[in-house]
Amino acid sequence: MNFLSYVISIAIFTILAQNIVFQSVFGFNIVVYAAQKRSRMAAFSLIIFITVFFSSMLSSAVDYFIRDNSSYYIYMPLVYIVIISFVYFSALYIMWRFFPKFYSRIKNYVHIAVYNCAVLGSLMINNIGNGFAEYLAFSVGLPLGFIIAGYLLLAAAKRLNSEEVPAAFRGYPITMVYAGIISMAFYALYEYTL
Amino acid sequence: MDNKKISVNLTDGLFRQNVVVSSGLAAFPVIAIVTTLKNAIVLSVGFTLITVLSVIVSSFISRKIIYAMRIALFSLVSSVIYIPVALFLRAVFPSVSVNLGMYLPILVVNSVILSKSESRFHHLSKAMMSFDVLIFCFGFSLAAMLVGAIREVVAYNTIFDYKINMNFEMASAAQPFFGFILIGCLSALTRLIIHKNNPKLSKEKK
Repeated sequence: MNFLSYVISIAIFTILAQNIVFQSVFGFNIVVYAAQKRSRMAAFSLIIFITVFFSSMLSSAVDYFIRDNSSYYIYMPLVYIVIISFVYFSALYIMWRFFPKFYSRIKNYVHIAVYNCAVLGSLMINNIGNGFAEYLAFSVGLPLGFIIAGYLLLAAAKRLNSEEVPAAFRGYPITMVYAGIISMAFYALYEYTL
Repeated sequence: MDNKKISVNLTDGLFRQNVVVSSGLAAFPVIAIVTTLKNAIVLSVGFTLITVLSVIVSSFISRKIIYAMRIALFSLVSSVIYIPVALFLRAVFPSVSVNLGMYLPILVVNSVILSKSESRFHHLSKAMMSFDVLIFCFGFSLAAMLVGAIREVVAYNTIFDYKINMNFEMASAAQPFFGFILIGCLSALTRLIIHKNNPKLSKEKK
């Protein structure tokens, strides 16, 4: 199998069968927050994709040198937070310098999109991967999985918050039940894949 | 500099703003990994240690530093605090802490540390803040243990590894989708109880 088809097949598996939100449950509260508004979801999608992609590329280099260290799992969050922070400040500077309009639109919630379980969780899942191809596939597939999950929640957001839902279930509780049903569908896909 | 003072109800963290069943700020590890009571206890200890220490230490970070920078510093502080906490959990609960896998390190970026600190904890006095964050962590632990106990009984017919004789066993209760649905139902139940005991809240909602 050539390199590109290998990367694409793992990325598709990561998006659907191992979805970061519905299967690994990383960043669920973030995706619920982002999915309240279409414009916010679009901005979150872009920010999370860029952060995960570039952080993964940097972490693949770091992991290569120190992943065999037996106590690496203890320092891993610190190492990854440093990498994420480097990407965060670089991206903030580039946006402030070259895209000031976009920067002023997202500056109130850009930190929420960067420092969350979805981003850190993606880097941790990447760490399971072997070799550059898998890092590349995960770094594309995991944020795309987040984006798909976000749009699935966005599509139902109005109905889940509508008056037709009983008051006790309206909003957060029914969103959890809805997410559970979608998660069941992803789980079935995963089981079938295996 | 932000000198905003907020009035807080110290029982918020237990029910009204419970981070698992009311706001969902820290529901993700409970949905994913809390499938037994043992997991729930170890996760609760880890969550409490990381969150309480991180919130207290990060309260010393000057509010003159811009917000974008402060959030990065909060994350750095909690990931440094994670190191001794992970060593402690590994020593005290060797097998269960391994079960928690990557959900323990992920707690360094939980929203209670990053968002609640800014919106609530850091506006309180140090003593009040410590007590308030402890109550939030206690609320997390209560919810996690309830979910862990229910899932352990349904999925494995055991409680704390003691066998319970039941007619049905549903192994899929240990899967994330069951966690989502269970927490959704517990959330609705919590809301009902809160509103029943406090009719004022129901009127405010309307």
